[in-house]
Amino acid sequence: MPQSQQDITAEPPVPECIMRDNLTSPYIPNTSLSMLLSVVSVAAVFLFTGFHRLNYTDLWGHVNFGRWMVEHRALPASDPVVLQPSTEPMLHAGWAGQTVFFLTEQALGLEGLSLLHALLVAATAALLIVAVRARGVPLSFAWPAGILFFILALPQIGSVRPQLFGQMAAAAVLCGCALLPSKRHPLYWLPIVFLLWANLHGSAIIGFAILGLAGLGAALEILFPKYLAEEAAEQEAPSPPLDTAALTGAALPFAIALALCFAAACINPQGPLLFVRSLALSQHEGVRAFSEWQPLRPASLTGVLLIASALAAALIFKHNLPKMPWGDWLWLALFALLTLSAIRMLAWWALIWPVAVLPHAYAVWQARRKETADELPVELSEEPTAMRTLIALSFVFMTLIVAPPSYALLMGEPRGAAEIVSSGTPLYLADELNRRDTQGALAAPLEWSDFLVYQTEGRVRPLLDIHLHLQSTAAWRDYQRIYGGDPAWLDRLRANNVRYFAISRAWNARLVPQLLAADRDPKSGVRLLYQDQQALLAEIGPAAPALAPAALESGKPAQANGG
Amino acid sequence: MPTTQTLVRWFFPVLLLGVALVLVRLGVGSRAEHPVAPSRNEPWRITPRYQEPRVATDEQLTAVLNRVQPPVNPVTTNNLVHALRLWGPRADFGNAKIPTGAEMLNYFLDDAEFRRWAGAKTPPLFYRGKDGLNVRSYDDQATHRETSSYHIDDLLATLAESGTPLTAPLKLRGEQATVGDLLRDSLTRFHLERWEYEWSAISYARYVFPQREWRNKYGAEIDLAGLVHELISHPLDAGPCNGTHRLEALVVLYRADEEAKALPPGVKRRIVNHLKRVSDLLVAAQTRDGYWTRKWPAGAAANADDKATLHDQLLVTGHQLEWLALAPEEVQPPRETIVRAGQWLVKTLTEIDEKTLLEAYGPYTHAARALCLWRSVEPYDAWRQGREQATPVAAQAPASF
Repeated sequence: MPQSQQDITAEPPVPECIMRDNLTSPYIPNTSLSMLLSVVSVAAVFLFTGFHRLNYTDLWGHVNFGRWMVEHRALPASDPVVLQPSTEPMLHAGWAGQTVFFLTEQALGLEGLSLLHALLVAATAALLIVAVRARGVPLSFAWPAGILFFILALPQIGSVRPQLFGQMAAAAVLCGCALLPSKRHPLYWLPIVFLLWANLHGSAIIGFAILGLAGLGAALEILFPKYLAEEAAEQEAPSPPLDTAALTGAALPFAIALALCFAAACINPQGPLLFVRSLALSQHEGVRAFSEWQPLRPASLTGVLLIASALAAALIFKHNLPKMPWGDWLWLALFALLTLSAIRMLAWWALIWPVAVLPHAYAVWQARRKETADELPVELSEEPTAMRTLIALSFVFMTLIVAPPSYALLMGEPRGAAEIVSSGTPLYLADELNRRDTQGALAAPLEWSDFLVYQTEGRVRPLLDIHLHLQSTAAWRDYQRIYGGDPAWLDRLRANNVRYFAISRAWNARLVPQLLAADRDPKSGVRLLYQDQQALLAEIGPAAPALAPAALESGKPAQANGG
Repeated sequence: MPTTQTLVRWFFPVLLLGVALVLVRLGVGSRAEHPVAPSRNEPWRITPRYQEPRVATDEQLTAVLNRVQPPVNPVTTNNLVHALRLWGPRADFGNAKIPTGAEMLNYFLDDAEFRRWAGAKTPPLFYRGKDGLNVRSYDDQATHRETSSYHIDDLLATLAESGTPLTAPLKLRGEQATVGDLLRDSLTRFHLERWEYEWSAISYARYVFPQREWRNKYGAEIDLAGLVHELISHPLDAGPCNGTHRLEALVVLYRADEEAKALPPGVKRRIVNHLKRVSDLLVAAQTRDGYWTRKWPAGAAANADDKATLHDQLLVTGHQLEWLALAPEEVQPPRETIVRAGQWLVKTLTEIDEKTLLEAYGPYTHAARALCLWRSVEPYDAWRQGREQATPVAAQAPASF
């Protein structure tokens, strides 16, 4: 073949000026490809979380509690927000988290809450990468842990609630569990994590479960090293004598950690009762009515994620079964069962899954690579370079510029509430309450009550708020009857001394015609104050004994409908 | 102790990132605020475009107009809104008991004039609230409702229809503002979740268009496409007056664009298609007598609706004929449809008893205005001309208000 033809088909050499690395120097940090991917994955989690809008569910209830505590510099003895506080004793689970939320809102507004949300989720993702790495998985295989967590937690991750602190703490505990067998420093910082956790959110008991099962798993590794019955039968060898020293060495660090963490976590306003009462919370009749506390439905997004991730785990474990530690089995079994019993538990499954499964995925991949060395790609090039540092910085920079809350705060131009809160938030109803300077007893859909209280700075007192575990069952049942369209809804409102009554067109469709009819009836004492495509607001006055000229005025005349 | 080299290695990324962010902060300008900033002082004038004598003869017009002079006993803001809209600021009926057009306009622009008609102790129509200039609305109080505004932004839309410039002073109780202030504060409060937005859309179309977007006080950007979507996307009979003011708003916007030429082609096409669809339904839904009922969106299934009240028939037919009079030719139904509806309105408005007419003065002025628009005459000019000619029909006894 002539030389000229060879030149055309051959790859042109890359110019040296491009290949030359003039950046790498002792004064610029170098970054490996794995670290770069880790940074990018955490930045991606931050970015996508930043696009979430503030949901109208329980965030505002926590902010309201935080406001009360900051203003009164005390912990409330009963629900400080609702119209008629029940005799239910207050559960101070998450008082610190609520205070942090309120102070963040005070300092940085709604953008601050949105930023805090993104930061907490991103920090959790980063800690999970560290946890997987601490289990002996190279960073080149550990970096997807954060993204996997984000995907699995999708149905839950959009809600800003103190549980986010709990999830971050759980990720830290997973790190501790991975490090405890070989290091002692987790014994110093794990109690601090639990101390914070018990005060930031009432889910610290999850941390004990993670830590306890890890310890139990470590002990079982010694007690039942050949746990596969088939293998044991095949070997037909007598069981080796119990190595008590090994058992102690494996389990003791966990036992000490558990004791220290429990002692630290008891430093909270409730003491050890916090854990008992947190467990009882989910049994409240009202709480069980929330979809997130109901059993998992396979056809839901949560169901699909749980089933798909469980199947993926099974597929991986099939190839690595003999090396599956007891601890991983126990973690996955417990949190799968919890998620089956209550959708909300998916948040914990999403944390456990990457930490339990990625090490085995790595082991399977390593084994396969040995078998088919020529077919599978080689590991990532880990030569750290300064150029990768710049690329990582560029990703962080772009993330901060693109993510709505960080951009808004960096530029000093917060978005308006309409662009930050979720579309179901009663923003305009709240504005109307403020315009009218409304104060007093208000019945509103449960999902809206706390936002309305937050927007009116506590001037309205709702019939119920989202902290249903602090309300009496009777109040909850009354609420259900009113908003279920019970014909006696007006009498029930009056019996509860409600002055303002807000309903949702979408959720309370049966009530809408009844309320409009009451507004047209001069004897009802009901006066429609406001309506938009989302909500109606009425004032509940005393029922008129007879038709009076003044009362006649309350019915909008026919020509009012003729514009 | 960390070496200088280590410190630099740690400090470098933070410094680089910090510098980049500061440069962005300094380099990128402020986010567009999109305030309500009309480029014109005068509202767009939407003039009639058809001259169809078969809809109503001169004599018939005079007879109808004689019946809808402004009623002031009792004084009702909603009636004066409709009266000003019909008669315009030039009207003068030569009767001290009937407000002139200028007096009606000043009822809205000057609190002293408002009190003169509504009563000295009546709460003001406009007041300064937490978020700017507010109009006292029907739902604000259980009392004094008759002197309140009945629909959000109806006063603003009426001022626009009356040709009131944005610089026109608004003399409030104890302070002064302008119509422009009222417009700005009103549209800053506007959002697309509103129950009633027809008059806001008309006010926007007449005063603010061709500005295509603005940001409201909640931080949401309201744009032309979103507004048009809101006017079109709901059931046809949704909204006040059986949904007809949404059609009016669309027509006003379309007509303003004939001069401004700022509507995106897609939006314009959507408006025309929607109006044509409504027009086709009206042809199918028209009853044998010529009127329409509230069931018009059902098309042919509505033309046998014999349970509708006279009020509903008048309300729907008057409003439909009114927007059609301003609509472009391409969406017009056959003239026969218009003529039949017009003649039914003439007959009904001249025969209706006075008490019934007074009870629903507002809707009936739409019918009278529609007849004038189809003749391309100003109602006041038509009335005055008829009075001067003093034909036998015109000499019928006018309603005494």
